Formats: sequence, structure tokens, C-alpha cells
Amino acid sequence: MAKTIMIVDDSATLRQVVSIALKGAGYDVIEGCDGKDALGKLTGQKVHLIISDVNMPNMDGIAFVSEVKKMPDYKFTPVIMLTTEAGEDMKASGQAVGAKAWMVKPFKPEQMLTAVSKLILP
Amino acid sequence: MINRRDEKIWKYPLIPALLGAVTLPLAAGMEMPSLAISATLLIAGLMSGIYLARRYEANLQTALFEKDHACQEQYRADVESFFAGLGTLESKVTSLWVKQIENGRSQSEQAMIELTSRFSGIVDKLDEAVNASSLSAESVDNSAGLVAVFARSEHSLRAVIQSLRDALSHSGELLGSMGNLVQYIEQLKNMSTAVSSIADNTNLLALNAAIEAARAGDAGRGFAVVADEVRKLSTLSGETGRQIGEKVSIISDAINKAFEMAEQSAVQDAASVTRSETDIQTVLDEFREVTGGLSKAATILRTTGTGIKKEVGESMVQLQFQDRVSQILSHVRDNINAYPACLQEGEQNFRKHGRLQAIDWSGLLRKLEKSYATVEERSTHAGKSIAAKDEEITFF
Repeated sequence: MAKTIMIVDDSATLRQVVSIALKGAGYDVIEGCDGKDALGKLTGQKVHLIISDVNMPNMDGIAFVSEVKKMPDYKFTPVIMLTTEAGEDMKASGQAVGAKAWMVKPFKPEQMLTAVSKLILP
Repeated sequence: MINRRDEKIWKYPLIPALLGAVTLPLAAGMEMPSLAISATLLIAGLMSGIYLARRYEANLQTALFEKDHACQEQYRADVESFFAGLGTLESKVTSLWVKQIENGRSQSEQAMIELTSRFSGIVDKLDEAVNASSLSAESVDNSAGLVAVFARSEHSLRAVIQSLRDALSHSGELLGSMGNLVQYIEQLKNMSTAVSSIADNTNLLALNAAIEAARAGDAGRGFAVVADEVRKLSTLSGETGRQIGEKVSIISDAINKAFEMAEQSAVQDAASVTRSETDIQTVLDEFREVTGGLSKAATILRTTGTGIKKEVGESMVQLQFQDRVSQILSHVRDNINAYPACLQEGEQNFRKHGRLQAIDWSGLLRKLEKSYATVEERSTHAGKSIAAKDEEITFF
């Protein structure tokens, strides 16, 4: 059975690009347009990995991951932050809320797939 | 309305008074009354001059005050007009800037979504094509595929050729056996000739025996009967030998004809086998060419498909520029939206303190800087050149 990955980004283009790369590698993909929308979609789903942007309206990526880590079903779900932010302080805030990797946009699909295969839950 | 020429108005009473005060004592003698009048004239002239000078000064002050007041009124009106203009800037110009930027941003985003969607469709169709080509390549290459069918067919057809060759070989053996039969027939012919020859000799011997029996008279009568019977038998044997010879001749002709026909048939069969072999080989070669072409085409399609997928993957990196452009435009748009608030602060300061103060733009700049999400934005803000950077990933 294919593993499910959630991509959270306010850019529809980015969501599509990520979806194409992941679906091409055989993963199922769920999309969220911001942290709030994604939190709503996580309930009742089995998501094996989350890829989230940082700067988003309504709820940003850091707050979103922080909320995700409070959910018992997703406490150990790996999270990759995918953002244009490359500052060390921002990375530190991502690490602090429990993200497993920090990827700077623009990304290469194979690079992202390597990270996903390294982190995704069995 | 004050006239600049009135600035020296004090001299108009003072100069005649001064002239009168000087000339009167000289003309009337330096008497007390004339000196008193001169002094009075001088004082009157001075008083008048001072009065006029003060009046001029008062008029001047009034005029200046009125002018200043009018200037202040004009200034306030100008500032009010300026702020009213800023209101227009806020309500029309900046909102139009924001709308245009948002319009451009949303149009590029929409176009990019469409483009990405098309790319997605291309990738899906490419996957289908590559999968189909893989399946067809497998169906050509695997045990149930064309190549295997071809190999089995070739094997079967070669077996058919071998069978034909075996049949040809057997007919050759049959032809050899028929050749032996012809030899036996010749021997039979010789034997029938020998029988006829023996019959002729026996007949001649019987004839001689009959002659000798006749010479012997009565003693030879019995022998003459035997000799006659022997002669009859030899005649019969000769006849039988001749008939055998005739039958053998007929059989020989029939066998020779059959042999010739068999020989012709063997030649035709050999030619047919050779022709069949050539035809089969031609068919096999053509079939091999077709299956080889199919297999090659499937491999090319698979390789090309994989190559195109890789190219599409590379273009995915480039498509992400829209996200960066969208973010940069959004930050500029939000900052332009915040710009009127800065101007309003200036207006409030003016209304509060009654004078224009320099607007503090640092807050707006700080707000813009705080909104940055890309290295390029921060570099541009700092006036540095944008350094190209490879994509990076950090694992925690």
C-alpha cells in the first residue's frame, strides 16, 4: 500500500510541483493550503510524512508543526520544512518544534525524494 | 496696503521745520521771539516726523501681521490640500498600485498553476507511454513474447525442413532400391534367355536322339518316344522361357518408367525442399527484422521516456520561481498598503503640533525587512549583489 505524504504550502504551484514529484515516486499526496487547513485535514487520516512551508497565512509552518506534535497520532510523524528561508535562527526554530529536516526552495525533486525515503515511517 | 515709498515719510514735516528753524533767526535776527518760533517749528517738525514714522511703523506691522496671517492661512490651506492629496494617494494611487501588483502576481500564479497542471498531465501521459512501452518490450522479449514465439517458430520450421530432407533421403534410398530391381530384372532377362537357349539345345539334342533311335530300328523305338517327349518339353521350355522374357521385358519397361518418374520426382522434391528452405529462411529473416525493430523501438521509447521525465523533473525546479516571485510581490504589496498609515501619522502630527514634521520611514522599512522570506530580498535590501546558491537540505 502506498505511503501518504501531506504537503502544506500557500503556493498552489509549489503544492503541484511537490505532488508531481511524490506521485511519480508512488506516494499518495494530501494538500493543505496553510497550517490551519492542514490541521483540519490531518484528523481521521493516516499520514506517514509531512512537508510544510514556513511563511503561510492563517497559521505559519512553525505553529503548525508545533500543533501537529501535540496530536497523539502524529507525535512521531517526521516533518520536513520546505521554505525559502535559509537563516540559521529560522532553522533552529524549526528544529525546536520537532522538524526532522530543513529544505530550501527551490528544491530538486530527486533531492526531496531522497530526504523523504530517508525519513518516512515504515 | 503699505507703500515702500512711505518708509521715509517722517522727513516730509521735519525737513521744512528744520529749514524754517534755521532760516527764520537768520532772516529776522537772532531775537528771542524768532528763536522761540524756530524752536517751536523744530519741535513741531520733529514731533510730526516721529508721529509719521511711528504711524508708518504701525502700518507696516499691521501689514506684516496681515501678510503673515494670510501666509499662515495659505500654508494651512496648502497643507490641508497636501493631506487631502495624500488621501487620494491612499484611496486611489496606492490601492491601484496594490491592485496592479496583486493582479500581476495572481495572473502569474494562475498561469503557473495551469502550466504546472499541464506538466503534471505530460508526466502522467509519459508514465503511461513508458509503462506501455515497457509492457510491449516485455511482450516482445519475455517467454510469451514475440521473440520467444519467433524462436519456437524458427525451431518448428527448421524441423519441417529436416523432415522434408529426411523424406528426400528416403526417396533416394527408394530410388536406389529401384535401381537394384532394374538390375535383378536384367538378370531375369538373362535367365529367360538362358532358359530359351537351354530349350533350343535340348530340342536339338532330342532331335539327334530321335535320329539315333530311328537308326536303331525297333530297339530304338522306345527311346524315340522319350526323345520325342524331350523335344516337346524343350519346345515347351523354350516357349515358357520366351514368355518369361516377354513378361520380364514388360516389367522392366514399367520399372524403368517408374524409376525415371521417381528420379524426376526426387529432383523436383529436392528443388521444392531447397525452395521451401529459402522461403522459410526469408520469412524468418523478415520476422526477425520485425521483432528486432519492435524490440528496438520499445527500448528507444523507454529510454526517451525516461529522458523526458528527467527533463520535466529539472523544469520542476524552474517552475518554483513563481513561488519566490509571488512572495516578493506580496511583501512589496503589503508594504505599499502600510505606506498610507505612515503619511497619516504625519498628518496627525501636523494637526497635533501645527507644523509639518519629517515622516519617519524607518518603521515602514523595518516592516518590509521583517516580511522578507528569501535571501534575495535581504540581499537587495542591504544593497548587496544576489549570490547564486545551490539548493540545500539540513537534517536535524
